[in-house]
Amino acid sequence: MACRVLVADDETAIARVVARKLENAGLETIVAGDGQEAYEQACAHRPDFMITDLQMPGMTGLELCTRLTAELEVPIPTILLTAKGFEIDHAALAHLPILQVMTKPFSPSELLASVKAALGLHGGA
Amino acid sequence: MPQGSASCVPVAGLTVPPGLAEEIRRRTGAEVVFYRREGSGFVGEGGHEVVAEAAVPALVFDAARRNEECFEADAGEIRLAWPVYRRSRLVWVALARLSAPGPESQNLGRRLLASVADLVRTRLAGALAADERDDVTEALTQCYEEINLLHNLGEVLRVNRSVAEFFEDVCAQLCETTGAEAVAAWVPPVPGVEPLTMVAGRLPFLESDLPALVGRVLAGLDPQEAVLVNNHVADDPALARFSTALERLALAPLPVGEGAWGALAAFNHRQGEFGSPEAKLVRSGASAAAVFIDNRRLYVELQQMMLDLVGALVSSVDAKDPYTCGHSTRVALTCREVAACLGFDSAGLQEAYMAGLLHDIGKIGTPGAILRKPARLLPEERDILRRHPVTGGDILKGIRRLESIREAVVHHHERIDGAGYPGGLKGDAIPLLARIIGLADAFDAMTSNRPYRPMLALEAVKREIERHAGTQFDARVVEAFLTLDLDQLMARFAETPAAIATIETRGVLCRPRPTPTAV
Repeated sequence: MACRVLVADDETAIARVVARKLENAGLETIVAGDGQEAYEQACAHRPDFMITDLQMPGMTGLELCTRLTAELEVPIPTILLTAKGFEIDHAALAHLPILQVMTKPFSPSELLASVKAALGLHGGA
Repeated sequence: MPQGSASCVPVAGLTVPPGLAEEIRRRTGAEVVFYRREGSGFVGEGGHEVVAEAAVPALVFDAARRNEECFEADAGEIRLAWPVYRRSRLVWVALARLSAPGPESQNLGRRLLASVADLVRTRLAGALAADERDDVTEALTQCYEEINLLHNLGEVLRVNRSVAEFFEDVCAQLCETTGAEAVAAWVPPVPGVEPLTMVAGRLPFLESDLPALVGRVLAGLDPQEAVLVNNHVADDPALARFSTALERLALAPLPVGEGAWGALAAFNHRQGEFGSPEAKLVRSGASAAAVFIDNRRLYVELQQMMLDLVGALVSSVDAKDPYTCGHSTRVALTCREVAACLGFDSAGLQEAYMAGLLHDIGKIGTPGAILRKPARLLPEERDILRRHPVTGGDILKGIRRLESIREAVVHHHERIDGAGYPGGLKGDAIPLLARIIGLADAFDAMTSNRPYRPMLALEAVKREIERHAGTQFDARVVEAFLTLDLDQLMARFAETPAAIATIETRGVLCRPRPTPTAV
């Protein structure tokens, strides 16, 4: 059974780059264009992994992660992508299932490797 | 685009293709109006404010709530409202009206409006795809610029250029690619590196304040941080005091050695804030600059060390024979001046100086008794002394970089007429540097007090040298030598060792050659 990854980024180009990379590696992807959409998709489809941008209109990636962690029984392991990495309060990440923060520009290959490693650990496909 | 409350999500950049409503009206007679979803309300097409609920037809709300086409008809008009989605998000509700007097025309009209709805959906999807493609193109263009910058950093490191040229390049390129109003580099004074301030673009504060500003930023920097980004400079009084125009900066510290730090920084992003892509570029620029500066410093240090070592080596010879103390330095100075008159480049001048310093190094192998003998030498003693050029060559044999100097050392006692030693070489077979040393060596011998005779007057020395041009000495070298201001040269001999032993030529002493007259 293929692992399903939710990709959230308001920059379509980035979302597509990530989704394409994951799909080529045999992963299933759901793409969301903002925090609210990602939240709805996550609740509906319970992805195995999430990759989300930080700065998104409406609900930020951090808010998204916080809401999902509070409301879903199983936390979704997450990688945070951001162009504002230096403004993140790392203390705020402590209670969230955020495995890694990657600053843009990031290497799609490195991102894929991190996702695969994380899914392997969690017994993914 | 107005920002709504947390619960509503304004969708930026989505506009209805211009002329769509007009085209529909032309082709079908239907009037279409688009309502953009904003929170739980709607904004009329082209508007910015959420329209009062009463002003929006109930049908529109119905379509939004039920997520499906909604139809209504009354006398003379039919209306269809349908939702338009972007991915799973409701973005528009379109409302089409068509006049239709009777039940038959209303039935036909309804099917027509359904087709209109399909057309609109297709067109909006196309517009969205085009927008996304434009975004991708923008992003790709920016990526190419950044990649090019990084390629160029590799190139500028390779090419040998001055520190100023290097930083001029780096600052200009960074300014372009990071979208900053200005990029500045600051290198504080450190041994082996020239201090420098370089600016590309327009600084939002006084250039003279740059060192102080950099100092202030570096003081607050965690040593682990490779780059500092501050998009709210106005909030920091210590930084804001430099200028009210300075709003944003991205600064990378630049190690320049000896624990000192300079900086490379971008100021006031033209369109927004500095993010990690710009920060990484500035950091890359600083890394390249650090390597460049390191290389420079090392090169200068190595040069100096080599000269110091040679000086120490030469001192060991001087220690054996006090009468030759300082002789090698004087010969070195003379060689360099003659070489300058002959048009040697700066590398050649350094080599001439070095060759002069080392020419008698072989005397370390000569017994001190012979070196210090006050009377004339016996033939066997003279033969032993005459081994010093070859011995010098042997000592220098292991040092590849000094090969041309080694040659000059071995042959510095040759004569143009072939009556010299050790090889009995004639004319041009003698290395030019050896011919120069030969003359400089003899000049110093004649102008110093020796144990067996006092020094000669300068004029007598010059005549003696002229007399031996073409036989003992190379005529061209003699000619160059005689254009020197010899009084000045000998005044320099009297200077302190530290003043003498600098790498840089401090102004050549030869007077300009007279232009050759036609014969």
